[in-house]
Amino acid sequence: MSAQKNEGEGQPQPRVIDENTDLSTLTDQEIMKLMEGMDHQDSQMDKPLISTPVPLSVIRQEYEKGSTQILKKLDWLAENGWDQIWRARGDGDCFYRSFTLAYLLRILHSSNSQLEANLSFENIQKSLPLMEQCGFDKDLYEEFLDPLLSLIRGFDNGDDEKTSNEYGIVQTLQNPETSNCIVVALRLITSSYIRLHSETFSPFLLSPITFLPLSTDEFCRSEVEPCGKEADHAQIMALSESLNIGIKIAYLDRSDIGDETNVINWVDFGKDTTENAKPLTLLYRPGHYDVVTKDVLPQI
Amino acid sequence: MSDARLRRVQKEIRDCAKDKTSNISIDMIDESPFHLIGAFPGPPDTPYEGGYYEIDIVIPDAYPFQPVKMKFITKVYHPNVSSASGAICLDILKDAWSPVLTLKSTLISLQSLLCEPVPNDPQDAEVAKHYLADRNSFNATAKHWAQAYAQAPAHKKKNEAGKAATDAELAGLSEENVVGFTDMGFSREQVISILKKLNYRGNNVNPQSYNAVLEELLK
Repeated sequence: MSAQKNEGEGQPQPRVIDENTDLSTLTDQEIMKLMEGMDHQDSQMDKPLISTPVPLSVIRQEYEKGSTQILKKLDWLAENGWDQIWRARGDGDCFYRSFTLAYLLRILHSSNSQLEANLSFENIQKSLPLMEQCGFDKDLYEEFLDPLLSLIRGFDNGDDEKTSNEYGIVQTLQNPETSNCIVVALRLITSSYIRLHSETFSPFLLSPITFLPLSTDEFCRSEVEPCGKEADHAQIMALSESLNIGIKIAYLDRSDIGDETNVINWVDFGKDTTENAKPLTLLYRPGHYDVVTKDVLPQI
Repeated sequence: MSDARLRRVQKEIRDCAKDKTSNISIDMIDESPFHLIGAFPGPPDTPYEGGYYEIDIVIPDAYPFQPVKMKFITKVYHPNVSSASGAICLDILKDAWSPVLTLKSTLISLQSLLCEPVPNDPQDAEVAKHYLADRNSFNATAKHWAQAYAQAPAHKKKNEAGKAATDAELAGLSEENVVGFTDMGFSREQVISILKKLNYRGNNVNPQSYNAVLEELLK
């Protein structure tokens, strides 16, 4: 990083980029620099992998001096009941960690957790032959999948502490071994799906640094399978379709404000994202994903 | 937590020992399964053919979520390997590592790296310059190193059959060019180090670079 600073000495001083910076004015170079910085933020490493929820107002405080567009979007979320944020560590695996939490919370809060757990279990099982077809080592992917499958099986027993309430789920996912295994399992499910639907995905497989097209194999090897590589639309679409689960992502950025019924820009992935289908709901801020939920009373 | 790591490494060592077709070996140095020595033969039809390459392997605490650490123990003349330290420049040992890769698959990737150098992303800039400037001379040097350090059999067809490579040959320089400068009274060691640094090989041997060498020698 220091070498880059020196290079800029002859030119105008690089400007300070913070949450008040208009994102539409960012140059490609600035975006690249910001993305590089994210990989090396050591401060992130002290944060929990995933945390118990904080009120949305905490996030709002971070933007108080920021753009009115973002504040309007946050206020709209709050007014419509989206008042809880479950933060994921910003280590490049945040999409997969947020996905895992939202996926398990969805089963927990379902009116029939056992049924929902069984359906989820089946959907994950369906991805096993895809991984085998892609040539992944069976012993390896089974080991990575095991923690996720056994958590889901826990809902079936009903009395498993790990999945009996929100706190148990968060605590389980704070264990690095468990969480990392699940991240790898989800990455392999995503990768297999992209590899086996190459024609559909290939137009969207670009390097996030150079924006040049990559082959399916290159993309999966460099942007999906390694830990710490951020998920973009292609990965999210693949995971959502592979596990047959809808995902709605609220984009908290400086994009234009929508109409009054939907001030924030929601991007939908998967076949069914209607309210009945109980899609997973995530909050996206440039370069980072967290889970956003409506506060739900525990099932009795 | 390290239980899963231990199980995985032990399984990888066992699987590799069972596989007789790959020619890859992984051995323990002492009691610890987290510091190992890997080895493979130099790939055929390359200057490394006939050589035997040993790799120092360290399994980090967060393995397999973090990449395994590998470096060459055997000296090797290659653009992506430091000729001094054996450090390797290969994406899967850095940010393209994925937990589905194994010690064996990584060693196989190192073996393929010997077949296909990536001079645009070098670990050893001097060796990369040599590779790009004069491929025949590079190949000859890499072969000399394989004979000197990796027990590759000496090449019989050459005039000096069986003779150990000279210091000039090991540096990928022609004896004639070295002598040209040592005859002026400069020490052989100094001449070789400067010719190496200035990549005085192949097309780079011209009056302009000749003067640059002289300037360096007279500093």
